[in-house]
Amino acid sequence: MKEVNKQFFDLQSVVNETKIRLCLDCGKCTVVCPVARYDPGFNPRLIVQDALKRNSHGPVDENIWYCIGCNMCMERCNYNVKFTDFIRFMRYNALSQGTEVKCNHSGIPHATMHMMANRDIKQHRLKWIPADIMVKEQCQTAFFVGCAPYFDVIFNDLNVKTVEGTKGTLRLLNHADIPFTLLHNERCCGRDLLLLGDTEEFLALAQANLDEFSAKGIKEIITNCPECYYTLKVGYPRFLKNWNIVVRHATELLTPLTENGQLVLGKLSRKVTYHDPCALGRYSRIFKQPRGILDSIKGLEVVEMTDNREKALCCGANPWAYCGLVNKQIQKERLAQAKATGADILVTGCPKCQIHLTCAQKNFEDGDVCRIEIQDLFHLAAQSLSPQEEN
Amino acid sequence: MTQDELRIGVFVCECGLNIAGSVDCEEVRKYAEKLPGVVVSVRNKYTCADPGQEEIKKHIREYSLNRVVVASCTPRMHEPTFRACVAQSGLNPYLMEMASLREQCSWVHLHDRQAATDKAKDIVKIAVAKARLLQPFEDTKIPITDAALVIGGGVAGIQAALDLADAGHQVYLVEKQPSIGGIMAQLDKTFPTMDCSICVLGPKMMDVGRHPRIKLLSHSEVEQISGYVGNFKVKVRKKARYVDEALCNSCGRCADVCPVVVPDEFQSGFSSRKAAHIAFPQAVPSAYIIDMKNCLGNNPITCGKCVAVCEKKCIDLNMHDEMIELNVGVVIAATGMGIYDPSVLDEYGYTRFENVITTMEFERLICGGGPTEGMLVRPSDRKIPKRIGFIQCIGSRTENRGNPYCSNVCCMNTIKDTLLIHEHYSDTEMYVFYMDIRAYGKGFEDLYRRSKETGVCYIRGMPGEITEDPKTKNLKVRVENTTTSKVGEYELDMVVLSVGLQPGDDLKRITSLINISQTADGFFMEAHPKLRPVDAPTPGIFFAGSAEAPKDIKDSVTQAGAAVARSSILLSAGTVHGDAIKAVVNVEECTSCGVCAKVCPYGAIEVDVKAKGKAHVITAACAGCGACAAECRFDAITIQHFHDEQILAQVSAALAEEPAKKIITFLCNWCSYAAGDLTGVSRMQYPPNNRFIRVMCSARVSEKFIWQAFRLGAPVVLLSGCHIGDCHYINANHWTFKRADKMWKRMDKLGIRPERLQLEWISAAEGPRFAQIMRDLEEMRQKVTDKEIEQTKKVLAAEVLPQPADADEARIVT
Amino acid sequence: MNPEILVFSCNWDGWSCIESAVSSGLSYPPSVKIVRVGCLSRIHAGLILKALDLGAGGVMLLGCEQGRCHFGSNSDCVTPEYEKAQDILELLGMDKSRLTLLRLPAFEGHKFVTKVAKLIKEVKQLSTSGSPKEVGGESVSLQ
Repeated sequence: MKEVNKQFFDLQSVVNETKIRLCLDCGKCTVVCPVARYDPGFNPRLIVQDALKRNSHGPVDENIWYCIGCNMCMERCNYNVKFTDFIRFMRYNALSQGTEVKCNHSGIPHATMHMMANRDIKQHRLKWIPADIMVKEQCQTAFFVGCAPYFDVIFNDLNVKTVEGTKGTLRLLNHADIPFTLLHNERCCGRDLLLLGDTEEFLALAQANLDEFSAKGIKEIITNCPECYYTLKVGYPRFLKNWNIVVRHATELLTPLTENGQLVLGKLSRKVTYHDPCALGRYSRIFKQPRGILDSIKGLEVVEMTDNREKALCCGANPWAYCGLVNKQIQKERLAQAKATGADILVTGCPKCQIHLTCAQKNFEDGDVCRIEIQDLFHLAAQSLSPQEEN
Repeated sequence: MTQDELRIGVFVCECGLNIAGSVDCEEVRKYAEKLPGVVVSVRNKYTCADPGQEEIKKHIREYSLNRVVVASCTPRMHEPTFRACVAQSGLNPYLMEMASLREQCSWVHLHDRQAATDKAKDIVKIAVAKARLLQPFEDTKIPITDAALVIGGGVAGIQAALDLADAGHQVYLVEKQPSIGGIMAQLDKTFPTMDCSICVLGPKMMDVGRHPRIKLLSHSEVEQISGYVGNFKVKVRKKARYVDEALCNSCGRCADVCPVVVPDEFQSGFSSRKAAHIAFPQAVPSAYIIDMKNCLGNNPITCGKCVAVCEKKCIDLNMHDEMIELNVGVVIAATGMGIYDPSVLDEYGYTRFENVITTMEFERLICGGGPTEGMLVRPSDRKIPKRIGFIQCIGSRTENRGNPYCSNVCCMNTIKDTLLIHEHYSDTEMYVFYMDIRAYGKGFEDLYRRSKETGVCYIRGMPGEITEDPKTKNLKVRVENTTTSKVGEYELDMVVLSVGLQPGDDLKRITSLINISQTADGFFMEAHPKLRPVDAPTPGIFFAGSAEAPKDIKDSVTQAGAAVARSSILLSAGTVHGDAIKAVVNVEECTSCGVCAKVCPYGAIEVDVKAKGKAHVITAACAGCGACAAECRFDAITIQHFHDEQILAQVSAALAEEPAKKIITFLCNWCSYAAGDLTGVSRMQYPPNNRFIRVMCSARVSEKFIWQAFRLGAPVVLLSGCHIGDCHYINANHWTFKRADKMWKRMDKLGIRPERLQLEWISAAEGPRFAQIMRDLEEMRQKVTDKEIEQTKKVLAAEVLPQPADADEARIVT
Repeated sequence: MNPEILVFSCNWDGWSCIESAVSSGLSYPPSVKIVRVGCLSRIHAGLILKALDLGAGGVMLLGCEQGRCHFGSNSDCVTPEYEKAQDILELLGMDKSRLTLLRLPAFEGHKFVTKVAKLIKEVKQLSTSGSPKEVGGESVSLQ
């Protein structure tokens, strides 16, 4: 596997691929980097410069663990230097030198992902499916659930119900007569491990998933999770040899249907603001479709935060790697932006944004700067279909 | 003297010891004497010296020679010398052929006298083979229309038009705007001298207006250019102005009564004008124009006030566009540049924040002739800004929403602007955010220093974003000072985006009009980036100003002067001379298939495919690369002085003896042959098995030459030309590549190893590489077995070998 | 071959059980590895899962009885972590019996040895015959 993907493991190839030598030293990245804003010691430009000088030898730069991978830097970079990809490589390098991964949440997410990479595992991940959702036993289209069922257990103390977003998506797909099957033994997409530089375990997960899809004859995948979407759509084809499965985000299917009247959503008299998840927005350039879903809910007022779409502020903590005061401040800023819109609900399409922002609300008890209801996009949309279920 | 009575004289040069040192010249001379058609063979110490040349002349007279072969050095050195020499004896210069014994033999085989001598004999034999088939030609002469078209009336076009007209030539200056002046007319001051832009440009504009030999066509666009050097036919659309520009005396009463108010483009929209207006006070022609897009129309019920008030009765609201046809000898394209639109850089909020402006807008704000009469105010509240920031490289040096190149003028423009502000309001705080300051020109660094002396704060770092305080409309700029790695925030009253330059909107249209190419950055492509920087690859077309690359005023004017000098060479001479190496169509063989027209890089061949009209070569436009002849599958095109028969005779001569030991090498005249010469001059040694055949361009090499070589038992053939992108015939060598590719596939099918045909791009500077390739070829040759060669010969004897283009089609035709 | 068992033991009553087992001449298989912590409250689900991820067949949490915690925390912090780990194991389709929380009075060496042996036996069974769950996979029926 490593041989096949040499370009991802060899410094020279990565340097070329990420174009870091083209850095003009203009410092735009530092200005827009949310981490650098709260941590003056963090400077993407200097991390790269330093890494090039040291040629990947010498002590590991602690800063590499603090990047949240939001890709804001690349949004501004004159030469599209792929900083986040380079960070991924530096982390991989650090791990190969025996450095331990920085790990929050007592390492549960990573241990769980590692265990999922075990080929013999037989998961019980679908117990949450309620009776009203129609799932096909056999279908060439699979819905990729992602880790929502795990998240709800891991973060039970936050009382988040990310799986409600999944349920909402499935209900909308049912409503739009889009058939799909679910996979009993789907693995984590592996994005967090990839971002953390744990490339080998990522590849194990990716291969296990590919085998699972092939065994079931899957030709198309729908998912609601932005991170799964980006990883399956962009990551897998890069790393896996025989990948030819079409990957679609649920909004890519549903929004056109709401526009041409094939999918009619109900009514919800609320005021909401939409938070773009990095993996869906900046990474996948899907900005319009989620808003399209919200726009088709009658009575729903949608307002924008100051930083939206390409400029959207990240939820602050990407691969469960490191979460500290800096991350909390980013989250607080984002929540304050949402609050400032006057919306009742912050809507996001990503289970992780939901978790991180909910967690931040627990941290900041000072006044109600951050008090705002957080809901999943699909959960909200599905609610409009059966208002009696609301609350 | 008849053609079949061949009387060839061979002159073997010793070149002191340069040739004689490693080649037995006497043996070569004796060998030449026995070659068919040779009546005399002479050995000289220095053929190029006067006694040597006298010897040639004497022998031409005494032996009634009708062909001369000079076996000395490279034709790239002395071909003109010996052509002149034989011409003095009354022999047509095209009846002289050179054999390069020095660069291609004696100097590169210094240590094996026998091998060098054997090769020298072969070289002479090859030259004699060609000499037998040489034909006399006259150099071409094309008359030139003594008039020039200058497209674009910015400073470059104005300068070009004035200089050409002053030199005595008729000039047509076509400007698409209602007035000439271009971007320079909108600038306030110019760097590095800080003089007033319109004050220096205005007089020049007036000179254009009244020059007897300049016909100014303003508010006009070139719609078609046909023809070739010396004889261009131009169609210009003179758009309706609705005012007779000859009659109008700019009294302005039409504008006074005009009820339509629209933003004034000249003032960057900071003030307004009427539908009846004049672009700016110094406009040339000094005449009003009715902006019909906004005019209420001629209906007396709706308006018509201007018509009523005009004393000179020069307003005609029913005026139509007029088509004008011109005949010119040369074209100068001075179409200028476009300016980068920063709207897409949302982080700087150009569309959202009133107090973020561009440098062009700034020029109008600081200009005495501007909307504020030179009072620098910021748009939101018309207060004088006390803290101003400049952001450099807007839209430049980026692959992300902009152009990858440096726009050349923005650094100096900003430096100039800081000094202007300091001059007007010395207490203004100024910040310049930059990546690199490029102050490379005369007086530039001095200006930069002066700017720094006034206290302007130069901060190395590009702002990541700008936010606006909604109450004060002040701007907050966050930037990392990359020299200290600290992120700072600056509150500013106004931000000026130093926008870059880019190809003009209609540059693409112009390139298609005059059949020229664009470089990767979108600007005009020059014939040679260093040695012919103002020539288009198409003869008779020249560039001036920013259409070729971003330029400041001085460089634009300089280049205009250069374009004028280049144009004058043609216009003053009255005729254009060219060598006789041109394509000629044999109309009887021509089937009007149109392939030749398609492959010609110069558009010099016209074929009416539909009407079955025969191909016709515009001799003046033909550069003689030979791509057409090589691609014509009906042998209907001959390249003078490089006939198929001549080249085939060279191939046959080279392979007459011991073909299995020879490598046939086709070299283009400009790069590969020159590389061979360089190898010789540098005395780099390589094996003596190559036999060189010179063609003007690798695209001249027909498939049949190569098949002929293989049929005669050549183990390896090399085809070599300039690197892709460096072709001396624009891009003719693309066809070389395509042809080689086709041949490889064909060879593969026939069971001939495709490796036996090698294709190498060798530049004139790559001497060592040339030698290395020769060594590699020899290694390759040794691996080709006799059996393999015999097999190839057998296969090729049985095969009806296709001409270029589609094999099956060719067979149907034959 | 006995499966590897990792025991997280608290420093007080838990540890006393192990010591007393040793001083009473009782033995447990060498595949049982002990990690001593101050209090079971130190243990969180991540550590438990990490142990299993690194190859342990079973994990035992050994601590003081309810109400006898030396830090007054009643060792209760561990319960939600223990349950969380169990829930994750369930999602992963692994048998909950791989994980056991054992609260013992001080110096109960015998009980410790018995329980550890029981855990070994259960884990062994899982890996040889396998529990119906770990082999059969999920039985949620799809339409």
